[in-house]
Amino acid sequence: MDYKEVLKTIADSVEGSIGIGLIGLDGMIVDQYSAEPDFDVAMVGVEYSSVIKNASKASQDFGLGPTTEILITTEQATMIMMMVGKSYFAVLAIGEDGNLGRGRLEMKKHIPRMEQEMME
Amino acid sequence: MEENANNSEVDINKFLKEIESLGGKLEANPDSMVFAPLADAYRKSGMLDQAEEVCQLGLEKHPQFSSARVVLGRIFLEQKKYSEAAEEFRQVLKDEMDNLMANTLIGHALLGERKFKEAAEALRRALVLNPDDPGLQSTLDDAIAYSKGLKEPPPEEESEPTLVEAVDGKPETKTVAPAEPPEDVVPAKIELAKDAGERVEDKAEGPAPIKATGSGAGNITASLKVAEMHMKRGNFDLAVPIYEEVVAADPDNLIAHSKLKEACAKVDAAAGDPSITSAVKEETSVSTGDGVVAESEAAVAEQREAEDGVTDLKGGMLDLDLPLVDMAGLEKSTGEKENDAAEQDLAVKEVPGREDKEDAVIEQGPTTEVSSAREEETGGQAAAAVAEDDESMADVAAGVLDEVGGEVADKGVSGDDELAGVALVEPVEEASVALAEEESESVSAAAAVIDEPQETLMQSPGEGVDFTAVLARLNETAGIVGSMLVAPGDGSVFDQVLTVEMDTSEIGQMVSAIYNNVHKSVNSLNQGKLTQVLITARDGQVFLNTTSYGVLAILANEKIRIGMLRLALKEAVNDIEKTVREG
Repeated sequence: MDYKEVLKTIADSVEGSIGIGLIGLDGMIVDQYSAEPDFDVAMVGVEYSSVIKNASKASQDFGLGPTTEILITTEQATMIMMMVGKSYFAVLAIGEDGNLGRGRLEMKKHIPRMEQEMME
Repeated sequence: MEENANNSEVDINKFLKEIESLGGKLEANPDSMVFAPLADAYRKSGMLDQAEEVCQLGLEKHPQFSSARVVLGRIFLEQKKYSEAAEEFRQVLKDEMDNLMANTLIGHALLGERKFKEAAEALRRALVLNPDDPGLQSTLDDAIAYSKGLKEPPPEEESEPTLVEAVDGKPETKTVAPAEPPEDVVPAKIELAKDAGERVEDKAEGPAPIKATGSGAGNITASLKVAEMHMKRGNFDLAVPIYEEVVAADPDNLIAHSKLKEACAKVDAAAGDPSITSAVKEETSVSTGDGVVAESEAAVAEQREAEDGVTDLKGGMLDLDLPLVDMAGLEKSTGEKENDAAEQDLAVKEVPGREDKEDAVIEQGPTTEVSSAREEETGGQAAAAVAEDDESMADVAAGVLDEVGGEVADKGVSGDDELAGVALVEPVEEASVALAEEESESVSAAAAVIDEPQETLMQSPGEGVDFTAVLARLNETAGIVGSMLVAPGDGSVFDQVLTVEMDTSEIGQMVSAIYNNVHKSVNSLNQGKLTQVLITARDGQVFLNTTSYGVLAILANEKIRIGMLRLALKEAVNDIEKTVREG
């Protein structure tokens, strides 16, 4: 599977998307697509992989089971992170005027395909 | 033997392909971080010199890339350069104290250095992070035995191959990203007995292999799943003891407490003994502020049917991989019926309340009514928020059930999930697409209602300011099971309203840790001020919102509507500001 193509499909479907990446929980990038050249998916992957790990630990500690999604909203962007299997996550960055709902929808539509591919 | 050789050959070929692919990427973009998986692929192929060279060069450009440093440590470990390996892992642990891999591998590096006492300490830390790993426990036992002279350490040359073997762990199964992280990167709740390391058994010589095991919370999670299955099938009496065991094993488990109460209430109600039901109701109201009201046996039975329908619908929708906006559409299309459904009192209602100040909460009406009133008050805003909320499949299913009532179960939803799912979803597909198109506006509206975040250095609310009334009001929102205002600096809790007894200081620390972790990442990415963090897990959600006076943390069940939650949050944040101003 061409992960970049899938990532691009997601990003292109979401108004205001800045960039998207498929990243391992160790911060390693599988593939990425940036709608804006300044957006460094690699840095995002490194930074947020540790957030995901800590959040996952916390949600287990809270008794909430495994983490499936994390949304981080800042004054400049919203990051939607969804788990892809157990060891990877997809992160979509959307600008402040972007369509968050559409972003989540598109990710949820495409992630099962990526998971399926990874399992194979 | 021959099969093993074939497997090794397959693995080597796989790694060589990875090296070729990753090498191409690195050549195309020499500054990329792909050097780390490339180095790891070299390591796995046994090309340790190339692995070290690639990794060292990459780390010169990205010195903070901790995963790459772990890779380099592993390379050193396999080169038997134990002190260099230990140094790399130490650097990782400076920034990430709870890095399981670094803690585990430094233990092995120290064993290689014959520093058994230090190795035991490192392995003990690793075991705290991953208490269910028998291999790790065994290695720790050995390290302790060596350090105390209870056991003769193996000669260096004998121990090393075991270490190398161990570090490799299980073979890679994926080709898309060679540096697959271990499955146990999500450590379980820390419940390690302090004397875990004291148990020394006479085992085979040499350190045991490291095994990547599943989550340490596996037993609890599995138990909850089994219990949930019993609940789903209406076998509440079978679910109760399981929930009791989970609560006993993990007293802070919010979900287990909540489910136990629910199961007990249903068992009592199903037994048709209203006095017991009342007793349960009274007990939960007084002790926890959490009321479970079973109107009648029939009502409970009907609710049970409805819940079966919800679960089955949820499963059906999952199987169909239907876009969640469709479900939001369902919810919206059926939302107007919700008030009616609430008035019929068909459902068992949960009334989140306060733990220690009953008078402020106990008089509040059922949640459903409160949320209905809130919807009426907020009007279009609420509708927009609901439209924005594409999250909860269970919510949507509940919305459907509100519309079709008990008919869902009668029509055999549980017997044919997929067909039922299709039947229910198809009529609203067009509306759902329209909703998706409209989401941009609704999202902006929802985002706009959240107050501007403050700087990390938040103001002190001052002495004697009581936020419990604000939090109690917030907890009226359906799905919220607790809220608290936490100082992000030290995790101290200004005020909290929880529906079950929990260690608030522990939660405060966790909230603080998550918030600070995210804040640090947001800062380093120059993304401006952090406003909100939402963590969605299988069984619930944690929502953190920056306020002027601390982090407002909300624990919610998995059925919470995000749109409604954000509206309630907006009110709560305003109320917090107002409370401080007034007092």
